[in-house]
Amino acid sequence: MRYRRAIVPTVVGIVVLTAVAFGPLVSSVSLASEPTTVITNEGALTVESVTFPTEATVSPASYGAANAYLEVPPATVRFDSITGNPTLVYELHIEQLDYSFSSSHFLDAGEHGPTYDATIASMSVDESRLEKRRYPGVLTVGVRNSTGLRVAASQNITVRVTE
Amino acid sequence: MSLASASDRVRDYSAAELRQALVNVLFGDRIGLLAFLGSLCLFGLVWQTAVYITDTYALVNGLYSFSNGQLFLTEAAYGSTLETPGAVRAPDGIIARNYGAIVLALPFWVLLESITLIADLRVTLIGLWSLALLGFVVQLGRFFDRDITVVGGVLVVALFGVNVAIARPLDPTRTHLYALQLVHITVAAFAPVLCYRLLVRIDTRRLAVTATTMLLFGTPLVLWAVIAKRHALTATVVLGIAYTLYRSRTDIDGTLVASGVTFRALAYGLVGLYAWVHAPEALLFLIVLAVVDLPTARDNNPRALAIVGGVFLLSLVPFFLTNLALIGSPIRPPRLFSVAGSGAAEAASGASGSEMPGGADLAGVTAMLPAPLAQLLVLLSELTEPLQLLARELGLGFTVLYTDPAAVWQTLVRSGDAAAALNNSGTQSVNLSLLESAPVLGALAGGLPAAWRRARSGPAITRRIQAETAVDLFAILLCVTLVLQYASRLPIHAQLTVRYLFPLFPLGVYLLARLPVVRATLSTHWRLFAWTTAVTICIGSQLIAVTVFWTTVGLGEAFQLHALLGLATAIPLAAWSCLGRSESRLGRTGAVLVGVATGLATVFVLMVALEYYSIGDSHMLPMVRLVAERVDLF
Repeated sequence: MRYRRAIVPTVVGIVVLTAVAFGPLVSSVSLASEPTTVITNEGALTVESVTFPTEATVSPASYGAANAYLEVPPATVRFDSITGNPTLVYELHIEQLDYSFSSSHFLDAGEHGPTYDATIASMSVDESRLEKRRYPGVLTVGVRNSTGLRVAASQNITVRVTE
Repeated sequence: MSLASASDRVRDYSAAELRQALVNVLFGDRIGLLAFLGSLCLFGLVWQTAVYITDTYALVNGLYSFSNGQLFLTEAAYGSTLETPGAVRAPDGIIARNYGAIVLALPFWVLLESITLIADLRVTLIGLWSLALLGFVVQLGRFFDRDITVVGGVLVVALFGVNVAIARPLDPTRTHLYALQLVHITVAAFAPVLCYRLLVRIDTRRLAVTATTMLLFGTPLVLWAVIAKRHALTATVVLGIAYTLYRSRTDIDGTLVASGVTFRALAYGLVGLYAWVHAPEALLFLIVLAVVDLPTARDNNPRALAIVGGVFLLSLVPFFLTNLALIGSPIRPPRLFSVAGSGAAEAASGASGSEMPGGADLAGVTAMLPAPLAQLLVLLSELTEPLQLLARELGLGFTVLYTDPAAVWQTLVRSGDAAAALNNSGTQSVNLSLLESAPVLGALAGGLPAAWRRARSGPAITRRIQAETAVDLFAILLCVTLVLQYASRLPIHAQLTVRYLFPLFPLGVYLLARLPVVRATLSTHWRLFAWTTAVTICIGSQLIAVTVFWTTVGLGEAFQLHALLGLATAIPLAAWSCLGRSESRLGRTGAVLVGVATGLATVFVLMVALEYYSIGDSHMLPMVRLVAERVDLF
């Protein structure tokens, strides 16, 4: 039938016209642009209290992968006040190994609070560097703003290496 | 002359005949065209318009410089420095790599640049993908019901609309990268076409289609097709050589070419052109091709040899000219032969290329000889330098088989707990072995008992070697020598799917289709195979995603989960194929195993594109970007 023959030219026409319509020759139509990122550090956060975990673990990766993963349980942060888009930093430092792992959390006053579970993404570590079964570490929760990082709370922790 | 008569014939064609002839020459037939369009659609799904691997910087900066009329790298338009992996410092400047691919990308770049003047780039790329899908649907409609065309057309418009509605602008200043990716996508889409064209001539259409499906879904072809690296090109080149090798040994029935010698010359021409992309591999291809072709050719008369040699030399001209301009020596490839075993091939910038292999020994010998003879010896040594290096690499690879069989095992079978596979910083290894990347290749194990049975059943060689046997020999020999060529450098921790050995995937699929048990099983139970593959992809992917979410915390673990699943399929598959039985229940079991193995490879590719290596906001198709943004498993 006739209309079947018209399908290909029609679709090609639609595609070409749309591409040109969004192009530089036509100024009235444009694509939705990327949402602007909210990592502005503009905002304020005061922390009331932080409940830290007591132990982090280094355990061999499953399924026979060659590496090991350091996993830190989340810390529960209770806010006193939050405005704007502050950045919360949760960090583990193991001095004896010269390791520092941290994750930044870009908060939004409209969405977060009064409590927030901060996490650290699990990190791949080289097991062959680990000689002891336990390492002392320090967990820190801080707030980053335009002037720098302000430590809100910190606590010692044991990093246990499991076989 | 054959070409003159062909052009006479073409001149007499009507428009419809001309279109048909074009399809025949490029794709073989309508199914070949379907394979091409379907591949384009699949590649488009996983295409990320970002630099995936640092090696791409040398290429994309190379195209940037070339588009400004420079062969040497002039400016780090992409990335922060020109000293990227693969870029080599020569006396006159820094040299990019894969010049063949760069030159081929130039027309694509010009096209993209012109498009940015009148149309939006993102909408254009979405449109091109939609049109490829439309083409696929229309071709499918000719085979089945014409109503498919109507429904498909509406669906394509709807998909196009949805994608445009959620689209974000594409950075119009990075056209060099898109052009390079488009070239690799286009060339890679010919790999399934050639796989189909080769097998449809050797075997039934049904087997050719199932094997092509295996190549597309059962190997990481889709993953590498969208990455501006040589690997996807290599797949097409080896299949092209295999195809032309076959055609040169059978009666001519095509549209354009009227003589078998032409196909033979084409095979060598392909090798010559590939030297322009990656010379060390091309040299290996040349040797393997010559070893198989010369003793088994129908006719080795001087005229045929002259044509073949002439075309080969002609195909090397761009390679020679590029080298001459860059280094001043035609045979030194832009990317110098690495000193085998040192792993220097991937290391940037250091190699100066001034060192002559075996130079010291030679100096001692030439001192004792009369001057003209000594000069001749030096000249000979220089001319055969690439050969000497290749021989040394193969020799080293052979030694590795004895000295470090574990490395070969980790490369080919089980990657897993290879401590050596970790890089220096102790980060996780993201590298599957060959078998883990394409579990379907496990069925190749049946080749050994099949060969044994065949050898016992009677005199193997009766008359002249048949065309398909020549292709089999070429495939087997190339697989073995390629493993040897790279054995001393593998495993490397971040190869994803042993990409150095990429030609083993298409050649492996070809050999699978030639294996009697796989051939018989897929010919009978192709529906079961197709359904199992589809179910594994659609449902298996979700189950695997959930398992990754619940049981893994990082990429290294997730990769090894895929590896174990692959091996868990590959091992029974290998056992089944060794049994060599394709009747009743065993045949159905085999079809299911092949289907699961094929599907698992696709699941891995999808997960890499959507989650593991999903680079933020870089998916070419907005609908894929939306899915990738929603999926967060770690």
